Parts: sequence; structure tokens; C-alpha cells
Amino acid sequence: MSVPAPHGVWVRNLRVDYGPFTAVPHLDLTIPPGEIYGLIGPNGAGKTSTFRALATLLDPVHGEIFLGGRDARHDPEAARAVLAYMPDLAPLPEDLRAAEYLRFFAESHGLYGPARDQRVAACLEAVDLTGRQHVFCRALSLGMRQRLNLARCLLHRPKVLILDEPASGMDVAARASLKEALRAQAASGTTIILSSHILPEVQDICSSIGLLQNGRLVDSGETREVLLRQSHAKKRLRIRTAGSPENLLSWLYSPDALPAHAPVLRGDTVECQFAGDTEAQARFFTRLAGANLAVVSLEEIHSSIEEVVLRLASAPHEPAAP
Amino acid sequence: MNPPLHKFWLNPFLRRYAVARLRWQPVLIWGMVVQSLAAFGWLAAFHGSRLFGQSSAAEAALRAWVPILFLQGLLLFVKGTFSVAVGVAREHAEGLSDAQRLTPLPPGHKVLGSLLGLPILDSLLAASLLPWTLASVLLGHIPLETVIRIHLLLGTSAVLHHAIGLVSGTVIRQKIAAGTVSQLLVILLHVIIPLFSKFGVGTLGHLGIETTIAGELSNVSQSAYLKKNLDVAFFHLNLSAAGYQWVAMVLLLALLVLVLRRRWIRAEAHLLSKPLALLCMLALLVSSLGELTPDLRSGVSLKPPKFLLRQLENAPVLLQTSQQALFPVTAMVAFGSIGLYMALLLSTCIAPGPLEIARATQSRGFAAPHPDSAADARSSLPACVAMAGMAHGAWLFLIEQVKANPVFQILLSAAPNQPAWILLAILFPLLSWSMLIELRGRKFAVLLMLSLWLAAPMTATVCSLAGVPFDSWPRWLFASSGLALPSIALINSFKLAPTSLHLPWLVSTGFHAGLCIVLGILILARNRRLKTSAIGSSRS
Ligand SMILES: Nc1ncnc2c1ncn2[C@@H]1O[C@H](COP(=O)(O)OP(=O)(O)OP(=O)(O)O)[C@@H](O)[C@H]1O
Ligand SMILES: [Mg+2]
Repeated sequence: MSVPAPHGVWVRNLRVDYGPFTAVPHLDLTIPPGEIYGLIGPNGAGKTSTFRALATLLDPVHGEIFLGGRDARHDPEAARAVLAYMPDLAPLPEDLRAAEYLRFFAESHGLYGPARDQRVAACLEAVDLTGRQHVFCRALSLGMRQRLNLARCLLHRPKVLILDEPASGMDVAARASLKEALRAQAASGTTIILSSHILPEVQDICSSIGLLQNGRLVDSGETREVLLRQSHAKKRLRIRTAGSPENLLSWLYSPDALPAHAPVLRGDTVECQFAGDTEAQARFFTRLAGANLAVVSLEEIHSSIEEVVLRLASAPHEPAAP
Repeated sequence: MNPPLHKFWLNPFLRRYAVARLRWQPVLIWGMVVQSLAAFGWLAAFHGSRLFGQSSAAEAALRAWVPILFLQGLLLFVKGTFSVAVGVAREHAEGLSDAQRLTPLPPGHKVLGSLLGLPILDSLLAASLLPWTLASVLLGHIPLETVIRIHLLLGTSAVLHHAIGLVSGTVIRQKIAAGTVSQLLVILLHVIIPLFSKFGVGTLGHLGIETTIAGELSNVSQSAYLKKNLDVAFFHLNLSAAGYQWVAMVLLLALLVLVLRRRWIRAEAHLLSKPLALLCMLALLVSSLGELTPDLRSGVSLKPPKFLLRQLENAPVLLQTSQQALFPVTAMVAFGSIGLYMALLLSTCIAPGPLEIARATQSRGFAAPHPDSAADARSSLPACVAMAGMAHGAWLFLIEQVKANPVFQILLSAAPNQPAWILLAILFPLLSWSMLIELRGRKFAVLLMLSLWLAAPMTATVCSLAGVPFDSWPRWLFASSGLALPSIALINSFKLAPTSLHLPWLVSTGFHAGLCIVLGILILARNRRLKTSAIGSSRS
């Protein structure tokens, strides 16, 4: 066994089953402390399953999990002391007020008296709910419920924060304040792992992301690099010509144009797919310039994060290994 | 970091429920309702018994305590248990208990906090009736000892009821169903189990406290309108009814707390660990034997159930047997069966399903899984063998007691004395049940039991009542049930047994033994398949 990372999230060979169904066949994950990591993938990819296993709430079939340097499989109690988990559609007790709810959890973490009240006030402040502390939880709106749950997660200053779709139900202002709160947490050394279907948000908040498909991590790394890699896998070029686009189109159909293929006419520009590396791209440009087609610009189109996820979702559904 | 357990007022769960459930509106409304009911009950009983019963003031005050106790019982046992079951089921259904599971608060604190906190309104309402109790105690000159004993019983029983509500809410996780089941359990505890306790498992009869409290009251009453409490004979000891009952309740409470603690640590944990199940079996057998043997040895206070007498009066063999001897027979037959039923119930709690076994096999060789889950996934068969052995040992002990009493000698003269029979009759049904669970899961096993083990003897009974001679095919159908095997084995050992059951019993025992062998082979094959596939997938 290799020496695990002392902090952050460290997962090896994780497998999660529901009865005969394997939701996550094999997952390795390393997230350094202070990182905000976004796990994205289509519905049913296994994000919630992974999170629940990380949060020691679901017994995986096998796998090693270290959270903040604590072994979550062998010593779940130690791991629970440093982690906070916010489930998707996190529940709230109907019979408590917002501040009472936070006080209950603060006391469960061993905070009493003025220390408790200060911490509760600080966490309410962090999620912008100070004015609502005397409102019954059942009377909060969806976004406020999410924020109150986030405040509960922050109470004990966790080293690892696991957030399942924290931004769902939040309005623009709330998402901005969520982003603020998460950045502040990460700056203090907390590792944050979150999932979200609001992709621009992910792109904006997360310093690194992982793409999950059928319970397997397809790609993982710094957000920009992952997006770049994913768009290189299926790069597209946009060519604008001052001459006739039809001529350009017919040249692109010729064997000269390879490895560019599948050109389409879009107004006065032509878009095509390109399946080659950077050198092939340079050679292609030289040939294009020599073909006398009055090309005025050649532009690379990056896939947006939406397109990447769409591709993941529409990829053939490979059955998980038994 | 968390305050110690005994500082229960700092318990976050207790405080959270106190905040949520003691808001002034419900407290005010419920307080007024309960106080007016109590005032009516106490005053009506007091003046009523002075007017109609011509009682002295002291006697009237004693009687006026009864409606107060009744109201407290209603609040604690019915309303309290219901609110505990519903409350905890709601927290599970909403997923709130997951968030609570992640806090560093030790599981014991969580159990204690929910146990005291969920019914806090009901407990306080019951406590708010104490001034009425005080009036009864002062006016009725009731000895302090009695007052303390009654409140100890009431309090312990209330906590026991709430623990039952907590377990049903934890297991069922569905608000309405949990509430209903908790109420059914209360009825079971106070009405049905005491009925069954007449058939040889006396301990269970002590779980409802009404008769003991009534007995305590009669002990200090001048007019004996209720029968006084008798001591409980336990092996060679004579124990006070209240004390004996208190110990029984505390033991059951401790068991329930252990169950709840396991569930707090791991949501999918088995209710009982295997050693705990064995301990339960032992406790039940010892306590039942303890209450049976004094009766058997003395042979004095024996009274067979009336309906049985009526049934058997026509049997010609019986005419030669003393009626008194019937009691040990029913007790022993019931005892043999209850050993099996108890073992079946316990093995259902500890037997791992096929998915658990598959998962445990697949995780072998990797970093060790949670030790509790590994223990849960281990086969329950050794524990089953041990439980069958215990039941058998208890039965042998019982036989010795019967033999020691000359009154019963006549019964046993014909007994074949083949103690191995009863062991087989418990072992094979029990093993096949557990193996079925390990092979196909609990639902499948329950379904099979309903269709075969219950439907077969029921059909046989109905058919023979409808006129089909029992000695023709119904006896085969009857004996085919695994549940009936121990009783038949025992009946076979006595003189009053119809001989026609010998052969069906042998065949049925053989069938269950065969079933065990087949299931055993299937389990072994399945385990080997799991192991090879686990090795294959860990290489890939
Ligand atoms: N309790 C369960 N029992 C059986 N299968 C389940 C259970 N929970 C999830 N699954 C299955 O496991 C797979 C992964 O589910 P999971 O909830 O982890 O996906 P997800 O990535 O969180 O999806 P979403 O984006 O919709 O939240 C799905 O195919 C789902 O059907
Ligand atoms: Mg999900």
C-alpha cells in the first residue's frame, strides 16, 4: 500500500454496489487540500453514490478512503469528525427554527454556551441567513434550505466538505454568496468536493474537475486542462473565406484536406472536424494557405463544458463490470 | 469534547426535542386537557366511592389514585410510544438521521437523548399529574415504599415502551406504519403475550404492569377488591412480583438499547450480533425454566387451560391419566415449540442475506471492511446449532423436573426417552430456515414458511375439524410443517399420544434433514462461485 496523502481526499479502488447492481465499479481520486473539486456527469453517473461512500454513510464493497488524513474505512468516527456532507435535497427538521437547528448540531459537535452562539451566528452570516434565524425551517424557501444546510456543514470547521448539488434551487445572488463562502473555506485549507448540474457555475468555482460516466472517472484534473483535453479529443475548426465558401467546402472534401473531415457550411464560414495533433494542424494550415481559397481566418472551436457533458451522456452505455 | 452521558441535561438530542416539543401552545393545550381529565377522574372516584362504596376517606383517596395511574399509563404507554415511533421514523424517512449520524456524539448519547427527548411532552404531562398522586398518598396514608415501587415500575415500563417505539420507528422508517406497529406492540405486550405466558413462558407475562400495580394497591387497601400480589417462585427462590418484573423489564430495555446503538453506528446493521442472540436465547430459556420448575416440582398450583381439558376429555387414553398431569404436558409441548420459534426469530435477525454474503466475499482481500459488517455477513449456522443445543438442554432439564415429581411418573412410563428426537426436531427446521435465508434472502424464506409451514398444518386442522379423519392424510400434512415437529416429537414421548403421528414425524424430519443437505450443497457451490468471481474481478 502506498503512503496516502496526509490531507485532502484520497480514494483508491472504490466500488459501490446496490444489491446486484454496480453503481461505481472502480474509482481512484486524489484531491489536495484547499482544492475545490467538481464531480460532473449525467444523471445516474454515480456522483451521489460516491459521495455517500466518502461520507461513511454507505458501505462500499471495497476501497480505501482517507479524508483529511483519517482512514474513513477503518476509523469512520475519526473521519466523521473532519468531514461534512450535504446531501442533494438536504432535509431539515420541520419542528425547529433555523437557529435552533444550528444550535442542535453545534451542541452535537460539543459546542456550548457563548462559543456555540458565536459559531452559529458566524455560520448564518456566512450563508446570508442572519435575518431568518427565527424562521421555522419548514417556512424557508428551497434556496434558503440549501443555504441553512450549508451553514450546518460549516459549523465544525470541517477539513473535507462534500456537497451534493449545493447550488440547486439557489438564485443568482445566493449562488454568488455560495461561491464566496466556498472560496473562503478553500482558502482556509478545506478540501471541497461538489457535484452540480449548473455547469457554468462548476467551471467558475472549481479549480479542478472530474468527469464521471457510468461510475468511472473518464477524465480528471485542472478545470481548464480537462476541458482542453476533452475538446482536443474532438476538435473543430472554423474557417472564414473572402472567396466562395462552396470552393472551400469542396476542397475540404478532397483527400488533401485530411485529417480534417465532415465539413459543414455555416453562412459565410465553414466548420469541420479535425482529428490530429498540433503538428498535423500546422501542416494542414500550410496546405490550406497554398490552395488559393482566399482564407481570411482559421479558428479553433473549444467544446464548452456543456458539450463535454452532453457527449458523456450520449456515449453508448457500457455495462458496468460485474 | 461531548459532555459525559450522565449529564443528560446537556444531551443535544434531549435539548433539541425539548425545544421543539415544549413550545408554549401545545404544552398549554395538552396541559389543560390532561389536568381537567385528571381533576374529573380523581374527584369523581373519590366522591363516588365515598357515596356509593361507603368507603373511608383514606380508602376513597386510594381508589382515586387509580384513574390518575390510568391516565399516566395512557399518556406514557400509548401517546408517548406513538410519538416516539412516529418521530424517529420521520427523521429516518427525511434522511435527517444521516446528518446526525455524522456528528461525533457517541451512539449511546443519541439513543439516550432520543429515548428521553422524543416523548418529553408526554412524560412531562404524566409528571404534571403528580400533585393528584400526592393528594392520594397523603389522604390515603399510603406507605412511601408502595409509592416508590409503583413509580419505579411505571417509569421503567414507560422507558421500555418508548424503547420499543424507537426500535419500531428505526426498523420500519415509515411514519404511519411505525406508529401503527408501535401501538400493536403495546397491545401485544399488555394483552396477547400475557395470554400466551400461560403456556409455559411465564416471564413474558410480566411485561405488562397492570396486574402488579393493581396487586400493590390491593396490598395496602383495606377492602380486598383486587387480588393481592403473590411472590414469584423462581427455581428455589421466592421473589417479590414487583422486583422480579422490574428486573425483567430492565433486561429487555438493555437489549433494546443495544439494538438501537448498533443501528446508530451502521444503518444497515443486523438488529442483533450473534453472541447477543445466543444470550437472548439463554436468558429466555433460563427465565422460563425458572418459573416452570417450582410448579412442576410441587405440582400444587397446576391448572391446565380449560379449553385443552375440554378437547382432551374425550380421548380414551386420557381417562387413565390424572388431569393434573396435563399441565406439564402442555407446558412441555409449548416449551419445546417456543424454543424453536424463538430460535427462528433470533436466526432471522442474525442470518446474512445472499447480497450481504456476496458483498463480503468480494471485499475479501481488500482493505478490511467495517468489522461489524464482516461479523454480520458471517454465516449464522453455528449460532443456530448452538441455539438448538440450548433449547434441547432446557428441555432435558424440564424432563428431569417432571420425573422428580411422583404425580407425573405415570406420564413418563411410556416415554421412549429419546432426547435426541427433540434436538433433531428443532435443529433441522432451524437450519433449513437459516440456510434458506442465506441462499435466497429473508423475503423468500418468509414466503416459503407462510406457504408450507403455516398453511399445511392449518389445512390439516381445518380438514380434520370438517370431518376428514385425522388418521388419514391430514396427519401427514400436519407433520410436514417444520413448526410442528418439536411438539409432535414431545407428544410422541407421552402415553397420551396418538401413535399415528410417529411415522409422519419421522418422514418429515427426514425431509427437513434432506432439505438441509441440499441447501448446504447449494450454499457451498454458491460460495465457491462467488470466491472465483471475486478473485477474477480483483485481478482485472
Ligand atoms: N438505493 C439505490 N438502489 C439501487 N440503485 C441505486 C440506488 N441509488 C442509486 N442507484 C443507482 O446507482 C446509479 C448511480 O446513482 P447516483 O444516485 O449515484 O447517480 P448521480 O450521479 O448522483 O445522479 P444524479 O445526477 O441524478 O443525482 C444509478 O444508476 C442509480 O439507478
Ligand atoms: Mg445525485
